[in-house]
Amino acid sequence: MIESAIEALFIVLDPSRLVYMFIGIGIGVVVGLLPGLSGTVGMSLMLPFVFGLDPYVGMALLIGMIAVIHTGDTFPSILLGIPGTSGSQATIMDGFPLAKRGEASRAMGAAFFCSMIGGVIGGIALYLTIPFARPLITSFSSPELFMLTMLGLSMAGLLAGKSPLKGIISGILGLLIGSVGSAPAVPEYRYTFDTLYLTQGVSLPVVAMAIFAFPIIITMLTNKGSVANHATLQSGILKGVMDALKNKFLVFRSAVIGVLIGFIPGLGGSVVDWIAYGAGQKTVKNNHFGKGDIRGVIAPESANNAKEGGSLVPTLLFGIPGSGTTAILLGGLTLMGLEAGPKMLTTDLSVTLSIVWTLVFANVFGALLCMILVRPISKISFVPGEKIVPFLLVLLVIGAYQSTMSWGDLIIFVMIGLLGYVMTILDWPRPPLLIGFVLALPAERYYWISIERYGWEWITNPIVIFLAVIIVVLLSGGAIMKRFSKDYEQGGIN
Amino acid sequence: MNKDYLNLIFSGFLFILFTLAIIEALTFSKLAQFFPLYISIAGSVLTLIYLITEVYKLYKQKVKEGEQIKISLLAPLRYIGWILGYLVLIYIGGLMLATAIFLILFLILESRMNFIHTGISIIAVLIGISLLSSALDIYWPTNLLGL
Amino acid sequence: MKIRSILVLTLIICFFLMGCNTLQATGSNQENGGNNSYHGQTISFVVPFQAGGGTDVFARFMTPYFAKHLEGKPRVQVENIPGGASITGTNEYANSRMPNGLNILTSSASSHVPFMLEQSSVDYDLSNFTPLIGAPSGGVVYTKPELAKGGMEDLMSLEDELFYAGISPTGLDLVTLLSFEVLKMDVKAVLGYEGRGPSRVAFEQGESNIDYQTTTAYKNSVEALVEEDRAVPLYSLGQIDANGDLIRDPQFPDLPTIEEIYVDIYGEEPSGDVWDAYKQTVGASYTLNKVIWVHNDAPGNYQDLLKKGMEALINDEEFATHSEEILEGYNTYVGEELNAQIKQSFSISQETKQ
Repeated sequence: MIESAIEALFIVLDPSRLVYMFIGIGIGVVVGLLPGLSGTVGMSLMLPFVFGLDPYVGMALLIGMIAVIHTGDTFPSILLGIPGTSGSQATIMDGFPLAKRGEASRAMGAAFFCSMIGGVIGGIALYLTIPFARPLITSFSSPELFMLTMLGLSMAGLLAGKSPLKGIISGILGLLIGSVGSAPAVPEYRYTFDTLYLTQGVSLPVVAMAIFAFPIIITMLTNKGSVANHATLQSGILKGVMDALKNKFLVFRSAVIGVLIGFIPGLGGSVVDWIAYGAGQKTVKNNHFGKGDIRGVIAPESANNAKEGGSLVPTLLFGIPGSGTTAILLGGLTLMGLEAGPKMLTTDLSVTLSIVWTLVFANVFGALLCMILVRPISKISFVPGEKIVPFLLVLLVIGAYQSTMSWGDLIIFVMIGLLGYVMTILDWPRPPLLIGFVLALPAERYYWISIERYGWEWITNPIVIFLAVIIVVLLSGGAIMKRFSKDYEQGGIN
Repeated sequence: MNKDYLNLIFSGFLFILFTLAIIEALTFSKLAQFFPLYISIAGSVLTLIYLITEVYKLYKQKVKEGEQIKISLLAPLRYIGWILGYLVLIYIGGLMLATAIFLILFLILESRMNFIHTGISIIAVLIGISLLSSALDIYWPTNLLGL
Repeated sequence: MKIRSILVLTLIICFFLMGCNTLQATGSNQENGGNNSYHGQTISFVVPFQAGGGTDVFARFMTPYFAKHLEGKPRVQVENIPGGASITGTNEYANSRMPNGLNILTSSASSHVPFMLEQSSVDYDLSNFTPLIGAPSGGVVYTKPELAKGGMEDLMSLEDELFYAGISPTGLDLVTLLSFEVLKMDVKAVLGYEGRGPSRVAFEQGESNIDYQTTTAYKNSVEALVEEDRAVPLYSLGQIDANGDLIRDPQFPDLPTIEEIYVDIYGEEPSGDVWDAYKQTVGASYTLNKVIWVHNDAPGNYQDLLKKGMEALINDEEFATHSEEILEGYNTYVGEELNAQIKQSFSISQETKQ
């Protein structure tokens, strides 16, 4: 396979194809940078052009874009506290406080560097798992997938902050919002109030933007100030890179988490940043996550780029899209005369390998491009709130409207936005709501399938028991550590 | 407004929301019902517990911490009004027109920008939006006037 | 002061340009009249799915051929209106698009079945549209080799052992579930899977042991399993011919239909409501898997142009060679043949609806 990999390298490095890759990278960074526009928009934009293209060229374009979206989306998350796409929500938790302290450059330096490393690890993982993909993917049965969603939900508990009860209620609220729309197993609509818009449920980009961006907009206006309080912008890209290098194990760990979660079909890659963040919070010693810890940026950013490599495995080899973006990628493949399936490992192996290379190159170049852009773009954080908010609002409204091109998007945006604002001023944690929202459908689906298929037998499945133990350890470990840190804090005060 | 009271109102609202969700869930067929029913029951029980503990805490508290944290509702409401106004404008007159009017009014009334800067930024935004929509295949909200 | 007036002027010009932009867009839709050509026109092709899905790919594949074969070589623009499993977009086409011959629609099985079942969210009537071209698809039911060892008869006598992984009872799963019912097989249907891909994985890893895939997916992913002796095809779901009879799928001439199996085992022709319902749904979901329509009220000259274009299109050799992947090797229906099929499939009697 190494020979064919080298062969694919030369295919990718062909100048005429490189041009397409750079076009893809350019579009990916822009789409990531604009809040509300996600990979789905970028993909549907390019789809008409890939028709009849040489598969290597088309793949260079599409994969080039997919690879860097989660690099570009870091800008608004750190600078404004608004998620660029739903994959960079967790970056806000520490990236935004860092920007407030004037350390936006440092945060972004670390973020882009980690995105790059994470993306490259994702590409390598894609390459390495190719031979084992089949047995690996078919090893997850519904009960195990259900327990994995439970593991994701238990992250909601970890991110709850001071009051676990508030966190759990917030998570349940998210689950309830996630259950709006059609039920998975029966043709029945729930909580749709007879509107056609709600039959497909509330869309993730709208919820993610509403819950984070709307409150920020209002607070920026009421507080009358710019994001960064300090007058000078510290140049700190290199410092950020050094931070990342110092935490190389965290980078690696988070990237592996990203690959694994991307790899498991049906789990919804959108929670990968939260899971990496939560795992980082658990494992990093003496952290002050949530208050501007650079490691709170490193963990999610390493994971969200790595995820793409992982999620291409089920997409290419099984035709199972893990997200809207990969769903459109499947359509693109068909338009280029390829079909996802085992053939991607035999007759079309060179295409698959060229995807691996494109993923690696695009991540490196995308990160470098973003680093160049840091200086001009980070000036945004010094513009006074009331001067930047109206423009942001225009952008958010257009962005929100793109999810289903319906007025319902805008109405939901305002309603969830108001909920988010009230939760912000009353200190209710918002991340659990999002995690609950994303995992509502998989949780219901796999629970139902498990019961329907296996009765209650599935509870005795060894992997299920193993995952249950991990969840218990995670949750109780959190409580123990919290008590410990509380003692520590009090000790410090006394 | 007193933060603690506001919190109680919000928790009460959540409790009512979850309870309504339970009632609504009862009308679903069995297959569609179990998940929303479970979670809304859990949600409503937990919010009730939270509400009771909060009321109890508030009752026992000697120094009312919440009173020191006043939350002004007026300013946020004004800005929420701006956002809603913008959306209504889009609904009536279309994105381009609404954006221009909204930006002129907001920048001059709220941001106190001078006319020149306002003009420049509005033109830039309008051109930017047109470019974006032609380059990125973006859709604009539909409106009454059909513009 | 000078600068300010210049700015105001530029602003006005900007508005003017924006206005022109939209006027142009709406203007070109108005001026149809008695044109006998699509020259200089733009046809809006409504696809009620998100970009990248099967139907969208079909539509995007067809567009260049439309532009090529329609008189006057119009621009054809695909417009995705996703939502409500194709119902949102189809409703929008039916109620908000002008029937001026410049708006066409593609539908798929997921718009046909809810229409036939008269679901409450359906706000369109397919009989108000004129069909232009129809494309079939097919499906194959397969199982595990160890279950198929004793032949079809053994398989049908199994109780509580067959598990089927499906998505929802109204989609294409309906056809497969009805086929089990016709054959009186005891299959436990576990519904709620995310798509056909996940349900195939469920089959591979043993969560289900009887499954179906549509033609392309079968050829791409299941045939390899058959070669490795990890799956055995049982029957194809078949196609409906012009007489309303179930025939073998031309893509799988070696696989029997369920009618043949039924005759083989029970010694008589299948009959009854379930059998009628099965044939109806095969017609509406597979034989007419995707149909492109125009409003009935569209100007007659445009309707004729469109129909003529379709006939030219299917005789295009380039189309024939390139359509292999997208159309799964099936022949498309146009003209009278298509009308007959539509009548056949969508005229459903009240009893079979149950």
